[in-house]
Amino acid sequence: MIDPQWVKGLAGDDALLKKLYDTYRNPFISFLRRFGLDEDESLELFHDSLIALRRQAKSGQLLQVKHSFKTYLFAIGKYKAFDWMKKRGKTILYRADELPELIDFVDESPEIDDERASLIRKGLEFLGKSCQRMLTLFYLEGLKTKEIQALEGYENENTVRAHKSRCLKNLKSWIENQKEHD
Amino acid sequence: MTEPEILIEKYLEGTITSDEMRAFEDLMARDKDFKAEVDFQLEIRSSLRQQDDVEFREKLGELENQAPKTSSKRFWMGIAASLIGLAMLGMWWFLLPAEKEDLFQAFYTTQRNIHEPLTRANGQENLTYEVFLAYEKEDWQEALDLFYSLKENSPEEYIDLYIGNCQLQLGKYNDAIQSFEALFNSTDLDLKHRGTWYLALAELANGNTSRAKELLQQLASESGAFSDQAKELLEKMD
Repeated sequence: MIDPQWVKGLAGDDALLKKLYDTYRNPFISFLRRFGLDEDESLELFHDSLIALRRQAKSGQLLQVKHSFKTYLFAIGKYKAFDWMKKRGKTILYRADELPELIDFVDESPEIDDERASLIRKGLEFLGKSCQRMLTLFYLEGLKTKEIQALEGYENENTVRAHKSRCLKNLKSWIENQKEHD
Repeated sequence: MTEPEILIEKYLEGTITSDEMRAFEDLMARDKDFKAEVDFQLEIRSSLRQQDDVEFREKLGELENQAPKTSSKRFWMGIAASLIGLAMLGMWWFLLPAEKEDLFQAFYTTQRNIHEPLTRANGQENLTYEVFLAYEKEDWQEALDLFYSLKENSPEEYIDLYIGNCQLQLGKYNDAIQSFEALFNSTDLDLKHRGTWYLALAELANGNTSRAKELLQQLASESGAFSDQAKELLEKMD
């Protein structure tokens, strides 16, 4: 029961993102301060929570969540606050609430070292606009092959696959060449 | 197009079935090339997400600079700086910022919905139902927008009480002050007292201590529902 406007805001609609930010910033910070975090720490976790939600918005997972947006956001905030305090050996001030336990919540932080990530992004630049768009739509925006076909006007899904496959092959070759030059 | 490529595509799309997942895991375990291809595509996704996270965090930083705040450090630091100046003039009776913030937090509770109990006797949902539902769910921005629409349709005086409470929750103190001031001359005495109480709290939150005191003294001198709370808050402020 996530309000679709917040999914749109997180996925790229700037006006809705601003509305979301202004709506939930203060309540979220007040909520986290109950657990013993100060304002700056709470703000950092607000941003971290929105980043995690953006990934879920792009992958389509967020629309499947059965809670209200506020409940889900606050539950993620609480999860992150406990994790943050545990890592720093701080005392957690327990407050009763009715938030769901996020048993299935996976915080998908990108696991890649900065140098490798930078090399791949340079390779994408080298490939040109068409491949950049194709790979961004699929890997970052979370669009399915069928959706890319409809959005970009490809003849069929196999044409999309063939184009993506060529882009991947060229990217791989470019990275290999860089290794040989190093 | 070979099947392993379709499996990778479905895995990354999140549309893979349980049977296909078993085939995927089997290939990951025994086919080095297949595993290398999956790892490569996961790396592409991670590198794009990493860059996107950085850009999104910058955007959040910009929104933070524009956001209305209830208790921002900057706001209170500004008040504190002013107070140092005032203290130099010998005006020691002003409250310290932290105390003022604590007082607002300690005395402020959101106005309960006392005007439209949420029942669906006819199974019908109208605007009044929707707005109070949003209010009770604490969706303040949504409730505020709906209250404005409600006011246009039926300009009931009590709506300003809830509009002001939404604005307080959103940190829009100047707007809240205007909303509560609209109730100041109400002939409904209970509404007038409620409006004055929240007006005093909004003035306190906005840093206008002397105006807050004036309003509280007025409430304390009248025998209304907020008389005792006003006296208690005045004692804490002295």
